[in-house]
Amino acid sequence: MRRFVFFIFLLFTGFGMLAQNQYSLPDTVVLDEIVTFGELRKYQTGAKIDKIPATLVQLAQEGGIENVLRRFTPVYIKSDAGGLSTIHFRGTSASHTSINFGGINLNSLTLGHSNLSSIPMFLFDGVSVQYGSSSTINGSGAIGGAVYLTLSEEWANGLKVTAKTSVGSFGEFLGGAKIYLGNGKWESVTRAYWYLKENDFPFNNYYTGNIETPGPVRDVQRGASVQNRGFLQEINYKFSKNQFFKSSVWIGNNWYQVQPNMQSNYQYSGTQVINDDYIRIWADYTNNEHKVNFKGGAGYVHDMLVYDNNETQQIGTDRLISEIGASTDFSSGLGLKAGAAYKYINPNVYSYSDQAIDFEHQLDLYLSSFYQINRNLRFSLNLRQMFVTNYEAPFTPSFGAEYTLRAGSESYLKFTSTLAKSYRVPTFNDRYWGTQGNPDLLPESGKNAELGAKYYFGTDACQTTFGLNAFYMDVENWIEWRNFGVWQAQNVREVVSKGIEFHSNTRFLIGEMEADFTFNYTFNPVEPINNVEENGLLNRQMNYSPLHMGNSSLGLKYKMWRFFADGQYTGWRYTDDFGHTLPAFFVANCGFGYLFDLKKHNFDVTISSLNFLNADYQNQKYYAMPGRSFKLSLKYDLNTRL
Amino acid sequence: MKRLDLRLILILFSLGFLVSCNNNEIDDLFPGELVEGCYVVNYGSYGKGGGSISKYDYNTGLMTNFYNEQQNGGREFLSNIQYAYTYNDSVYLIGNLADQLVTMNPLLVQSKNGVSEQLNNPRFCVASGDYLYISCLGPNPDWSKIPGSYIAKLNINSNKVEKTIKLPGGPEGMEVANGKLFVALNYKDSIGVIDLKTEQVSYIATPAVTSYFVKDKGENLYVTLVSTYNNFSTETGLGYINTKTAKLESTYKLDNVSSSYGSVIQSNDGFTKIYVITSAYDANWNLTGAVAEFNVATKTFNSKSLVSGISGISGIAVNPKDDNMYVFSAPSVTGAGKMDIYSSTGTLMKSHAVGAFPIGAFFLE
Repeated sequence: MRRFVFFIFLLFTGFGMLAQNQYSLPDTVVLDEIVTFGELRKYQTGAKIDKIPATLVQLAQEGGIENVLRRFTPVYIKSDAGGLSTIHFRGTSASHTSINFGGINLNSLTLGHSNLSSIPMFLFDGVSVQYGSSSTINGSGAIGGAVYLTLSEEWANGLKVTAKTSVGSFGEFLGGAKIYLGNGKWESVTRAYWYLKENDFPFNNYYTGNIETPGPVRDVQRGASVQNRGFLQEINYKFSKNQFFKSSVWIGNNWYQVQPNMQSNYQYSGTQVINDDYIRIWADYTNNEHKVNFKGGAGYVHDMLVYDNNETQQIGTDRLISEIGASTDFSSGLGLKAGAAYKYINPNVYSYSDQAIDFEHQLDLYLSSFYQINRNLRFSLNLRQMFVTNYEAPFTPSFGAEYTLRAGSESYLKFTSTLAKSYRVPTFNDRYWGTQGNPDLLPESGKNAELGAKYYFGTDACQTTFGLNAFYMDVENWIEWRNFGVWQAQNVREVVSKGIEFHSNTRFLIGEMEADFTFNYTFNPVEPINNVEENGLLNRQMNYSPLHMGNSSLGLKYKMWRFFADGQYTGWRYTDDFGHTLPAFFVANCGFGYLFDLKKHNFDVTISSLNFLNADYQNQKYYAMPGRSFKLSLKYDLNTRL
Repeated sequence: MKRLDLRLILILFSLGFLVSCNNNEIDDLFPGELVEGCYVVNYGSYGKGGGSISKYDYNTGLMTNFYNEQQNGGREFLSNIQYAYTYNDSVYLIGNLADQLVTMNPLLVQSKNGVSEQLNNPRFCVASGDYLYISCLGPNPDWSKIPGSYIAKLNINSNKVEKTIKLPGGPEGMEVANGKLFVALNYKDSIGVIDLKTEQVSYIATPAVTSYFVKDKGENLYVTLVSTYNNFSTETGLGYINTKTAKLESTYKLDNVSSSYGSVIQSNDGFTKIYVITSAYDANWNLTGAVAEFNVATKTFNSKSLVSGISGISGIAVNPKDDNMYVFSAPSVTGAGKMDIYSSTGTLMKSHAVGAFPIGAFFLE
């Protein structure tokens, strides 16, 4: 805690010192888009959608997307130090967040969630996060939130090459390249990466079990290596500004060892490995030339996971997906969009019986609209109905409103509100696993209400936003696996999650120095209010759901130099129903970089330290996390016109 | 003569003092009033801790959860407890992740380090003489056939594994009888038999894979025949093994015998009844557990379960003092489990919350 206070003091001291010179700001600063007001927002009035600034994304390109989310959003990431991490928006479970890329929800259809460590940040150019329910837009599973992974829309005209390599402590290595080639109409973007991490970090092992000479020993983590590699190829064609075709093929392999807990690590004798191969293909055509805009896409997804090299126990799915939609704006104040999304899913899981499941069709029909009464007031309404083979999914509506109030010539205030229903169809494992699958499960059903206020202030000298959101979410028929003599998925709980989220982002100039400061805080009580179990948890904070979370980052840019520091505070968490807890922890990172040119070649050297205060902490009980580490990155950019 | 008498008196007095001291020392070490009780083995959450022992004083009705922590200065048990075994004033706990054998005294105080060397995925143990035999699945097991499994032979005095005996097929429960170690194989339709003198391994073919034994007064064995995902069988129930001839002499069919790992078979103190846990769908398609009763004299299962309708059944124990049945159930691995106490006629007497995922119990006097 003292480290946290010290770090916050440092950040605010630096912030205050910089702020003293704000009157000398030049007029060239442009605030990065903090909130995406694009297609995503158009029909989701009032929704809280934050785009993580590109400058921050650049700081955490090694490894999976969990590093970016953990460092720069107030979302809890439950993870070990190895290859497994899951996301928990607003106290919900990992399967209550949809992770979207193009028209593909990356979540495993068997498990229902994504391992964030296996989604490489390097391949993507942007990350946006949506807080709260968005099932009417993203379909089944988007109860707690959604993550959108985006690729840049550059329409390359010439050759642009970006290559990056990083070497870090504990055997970390990233090698990756992005090659953009095009003539303004045709575009080919090739992205490839290779990421390794030995994860042989030292740590204080408090769980040796040595009672003859008790006390922690300095140990070294074993069996937690990660090796991920992937390739993403885009072929895009622009017929005109409003008519284009885009396609992407993403092929990858993730391999990691299952990190042993500290007590097993002390007597290490081996561990298991997980191997995951995947192919994700998506192509879409957009035509916005006419009164009625049209967009249609199709794709194919193959996932195959093998546990501990046992090829007889494969867990995989193949899915064909497609989506079509048409939209029209009757006026600038009224728009309508209708569409359908279809999936054909063929599971290939060793424990599923062909009699129980051979394939499944899923069809979503949706209707979205917005209505802008005047400059200040806007509404949106979304309706969605999903149809699943031999399963009944609920009808899902959502409603949003925004009211914008000009507070001065340089500022305005926006009030937002959403009401949304959400749902999650049980996973394939829940319904079809061996003899334990439970096809009678009800879908999880959520109700989400949200109120928000956001204050914008912008001058040439300083641009800032402050946002405060309050939310209430009630999820019924919460599914968990329980022992009924054999283990089986059941609707066991009703969970209420509520809380407030504060967000601020300020960008300003001090002379030639550009500064960017962000701060996030979340207070999130989340409790089961009904439980089918006689001795089950009731009216108490859920396990591994921190009540308090916060993070902050400061970035400074002076000529060719960059400095950055960020810190994340995660409050205490219950680890079981008996009241055992893990203490709060605070992790801070910092670094600096230098940009230089050699003719047409741009180089960016960055030296950073993660967990530079050397916090000794556990995110999951008994699993060691690395202490202070260092990283050296070299990024190369070439941009030539053909 | 007088000096000799005095010496003799002195020697006799000293001997008497020493003997009485020794007796007092034993009595004081593990006084019955502190030791007596039912000790519930709570498995916890695999790899994530939570393993514990709950002590139930059946004389006063007092339940003390996390009793092992109370007895060891608050120190938590770092492994998941797969099995507990009492032998010669020691309690042996088989731990998973970390894999180890922990030895405790009857007050449940651990005074020496656990043994982990050559114990990979240990499951169960049984003693014979100065040796403890521990069934192990081996490191990184291939879960389809468990080809690398073995029996570790631990010298109780040196607290070290002296050798390992290869036994493929996933050894689970064990019992010693007539100079042989009988090992239930959970991934092979056989029971492994190890001659304790020669350590030669032979097999008894079984109609289904097996899990655990109980031993009758004549040193013959009853074993649970179970159907598992890897080895499906309709021939579930009990098998009777003549340990002299090392042959499966009879089988007694019972549907839905629990394939869980824990205490799924127990006998009463007089070995007139054997209790077997079953798990099946009821008329409303809800999965519930039950306790089937086998009459040893008539060699038949009662047509109706002695206890039924238990959701999440996870183990059973029988109090040797009064033959009351302690039936354990657990919906999850992170929350409280439940112990229901039934009379030998199946009448529910009491219920208590216990630790995370109880799988059985042992009794100390």
